[in-house]
Amino acid sequence: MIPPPGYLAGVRELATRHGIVLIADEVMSGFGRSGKWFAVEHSNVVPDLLTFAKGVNSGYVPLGGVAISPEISATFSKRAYPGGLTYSGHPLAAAAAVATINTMRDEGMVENAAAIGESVIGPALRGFADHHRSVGEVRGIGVFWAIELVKNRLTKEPIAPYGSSSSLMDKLVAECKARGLLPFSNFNRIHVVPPCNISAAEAQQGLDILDKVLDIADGHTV
Amino acid sequence: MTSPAAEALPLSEASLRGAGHAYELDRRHVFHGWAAQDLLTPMTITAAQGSYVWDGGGNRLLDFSSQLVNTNIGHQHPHVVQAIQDQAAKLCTIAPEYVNDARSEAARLIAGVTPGDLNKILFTNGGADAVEHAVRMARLHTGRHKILSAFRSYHGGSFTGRHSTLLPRGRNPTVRWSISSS
Repeated sequence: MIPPPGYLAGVRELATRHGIVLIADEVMSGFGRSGKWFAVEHSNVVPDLLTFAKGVNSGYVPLGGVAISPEISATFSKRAYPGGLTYSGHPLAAAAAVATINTMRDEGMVENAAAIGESVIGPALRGFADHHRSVGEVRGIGVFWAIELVKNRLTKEPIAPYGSSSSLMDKLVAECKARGLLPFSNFNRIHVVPPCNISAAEAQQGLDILDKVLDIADGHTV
Repeated sequence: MTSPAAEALPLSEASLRGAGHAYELDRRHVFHGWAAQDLLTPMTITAAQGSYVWDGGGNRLLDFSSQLVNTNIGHQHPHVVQAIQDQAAKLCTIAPEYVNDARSEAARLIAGVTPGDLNKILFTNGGADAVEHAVRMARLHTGRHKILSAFRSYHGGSFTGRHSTLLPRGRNPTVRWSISSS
């Protein structure tokens, strides 16, 4: 879900006013996925802690972490932080992160993710919402999108209940694969979450396949 | 930007046979997370390049999943593969208490791209344990223990993450926040 305008700024203000630590979980949304390095940048919000993983080195070697504000770091300047991990900052994972961040920057991948979202995925998905009756809602930014599939356009009853799949969802995923597309699906949603460096032509090719597969879903929607 | 051409990956008879063998061993010995073991027919992936993967039958598929939404740089980017190979030849592993140049530089670069004054990095193995540590740090910093997280959010599959996540367990759907003090 994209927070509505002003929402995260309001959360930041409440947290600051009441001494609450604001943690931005950017594990999935970070490192270019939203068309900026971190999704909180869309709201101009700086959290106290920011968690990351996944895109930090694209998972070539497992790596995650917490970015820490000076105030919170200072809490542990004379007092030991009670925790750590045997493989914290593993050299193979760290070397992969260095190469990933430098390459993403050199090849303009964050900007590419923003442009693909704005000029290719966004328009295509809004088109799906208009002409596929199985599409209850589309939302997203950058290369981070969701298509909500429904049985009924008016009630927006999902084609699979929250927390599980359905035979129709399984069929749609199978149809995508048979046509040469590997989708990401969860419950009643199909996500469009390609790499940040996907080309416009590749993105369009995948969207054309999805367009055809959604025709099948339409046959199950009233 | 372009992905390397599909033709760059010849799929031999041997690789197709290898995929069949890998599938048999998987079904015999690999226990898959988030799954009922007997109801699975997992896809075998034998190769990947840029925005594409190849399945056990030699078919090319466009990866619109980035796997679990993680391959932001695409598959097998040569710069990253080279960096891992170079680091493996130089120093595969060293305990976190020692200074290591790759770790120092990664921390500097991450601090550089994260917003504002977030300048120190605690490294973990993945996202779930990053959330565990962020929550632990926040609790020690404030001396308070409650966590608020958004309705139907997901913050990882480990203990704290699951408790900061409104998982589908038939809880009251009108609850707007998940409050955890565990």
